[in-house]
Amino acid sequence: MTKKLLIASRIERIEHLSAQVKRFSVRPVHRPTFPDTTPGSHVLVRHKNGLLRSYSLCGGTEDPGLYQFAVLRETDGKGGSVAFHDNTAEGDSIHVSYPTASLPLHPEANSHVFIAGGIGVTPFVPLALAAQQRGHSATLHYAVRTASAAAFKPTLQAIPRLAMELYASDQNQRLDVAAVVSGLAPEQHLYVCGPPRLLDAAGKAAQAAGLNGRVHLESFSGLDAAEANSGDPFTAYLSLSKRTVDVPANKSLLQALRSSGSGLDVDSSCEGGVCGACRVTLLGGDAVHRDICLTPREREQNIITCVSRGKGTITLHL
Amino acid sequence: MASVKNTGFFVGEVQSLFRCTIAGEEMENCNSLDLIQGQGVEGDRYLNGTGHYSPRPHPDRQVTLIESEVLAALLRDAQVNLPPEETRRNIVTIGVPLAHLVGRQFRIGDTVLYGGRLNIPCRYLEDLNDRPGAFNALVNRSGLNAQIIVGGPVYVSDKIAPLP
Repeated sequence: MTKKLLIASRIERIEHLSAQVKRFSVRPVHRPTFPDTTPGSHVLVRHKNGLLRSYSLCGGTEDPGLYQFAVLRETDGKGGSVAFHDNTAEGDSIHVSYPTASLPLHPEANSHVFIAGGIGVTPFVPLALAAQQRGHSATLHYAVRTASAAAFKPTLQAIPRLAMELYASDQNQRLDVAAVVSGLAPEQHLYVCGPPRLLDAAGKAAQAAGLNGRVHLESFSGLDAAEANSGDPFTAYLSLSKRTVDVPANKSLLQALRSSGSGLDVDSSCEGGVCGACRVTLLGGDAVHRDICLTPREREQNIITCVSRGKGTITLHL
Repeated sequence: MASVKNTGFFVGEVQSLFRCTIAGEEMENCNSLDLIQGQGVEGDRYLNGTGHYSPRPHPDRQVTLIESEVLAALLRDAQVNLPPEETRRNIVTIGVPLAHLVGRQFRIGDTVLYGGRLNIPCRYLEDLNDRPGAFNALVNRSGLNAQIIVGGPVYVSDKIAPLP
């Protein structure tokens, strides 16, 4: 697993990459460099107002004291992107987690195909740079609403070994995900980041083509709130505090822990099973894992409390 | 039968000093800390009310200490490498048997502290630092929680000694 520590940092620069996308460049305050990153990593970022959000790192690795992430302003989101756009200034303090390599280049691949939907392009900047450095060929299929909304376009165009196809839906240019998946050459791996509909289409196409092992998906949305906060009732036994918390059908485990009066404060961020901020140690019982961030091995000893549940009684190290 | 002997007077010192502003933040390695009488460490999360345990305040948590010798013992006994900044304590000591300071006043530099109670380790620390085994290894040697009787600055290498 990754350290859950937050690194005290400061916003050095904020730039508009398109009308609705800003790039934030941050530096650590008390240490000379950030932890090393693998291209295709994401971090949790804590806004000064306390909101915790998950963003892909979108910079290169040449300056170890610099992390960059980009945020799309979403007025109908949960408030994080608006806070970063409207209530953040250069010089502000900010906290950044250790990076998690959630979408790395596959070590055995030497040719890569990327599919990005909108702001899902962010991990492909460092991934395309890494492919370039390794002498690998790469193709990016980049779907956007309008050509002017295509963040990072100049950066991506400047990477010599990267071929880019841009699909602007306002010009009726449609990305055929299934065709990209089925056209994958035997030596190629496919990486997809974007909205749930895109990931779903890529996942289904990969399954139909029998290519699951060569298709890698990254999501930043996960379960919607209604689904995350409901399911069969179960019980959580908290081994450290020796308490029992009943989780009803209309609450998530995270919500039940917080309203149990136990004084427990479990961190959380996406509340859709994506970022892993609300992970706690699972000691026993039959867990129903619904996250998309833990590996099968990690699931043996961990549970993502915002979405995952249990059957009967599960035991948590809380 | 051998009699139990009081260790009496000893003088140790401050090896390193740490603070952080919010729960879960990496600790900042400091050359000095300002101890505020009856309150806590200037700039630290437990003075700010933003610590993991701030919802359950206790005067003994104004400042926390741990022995550097314990960190060496964790590595020796449990193969757990817990660097000083990951202990999440404010003061790492050298040459100070902290258990002997429970219920006693002691001096660090020009400040005076009161040893309130032995610290109880938490799983939170192990999880935060991703140091499996740290929680169990720290049981019964997790340091000292203290009150600040006379405040003031403390510095790395300040002497630590019990008051009569």
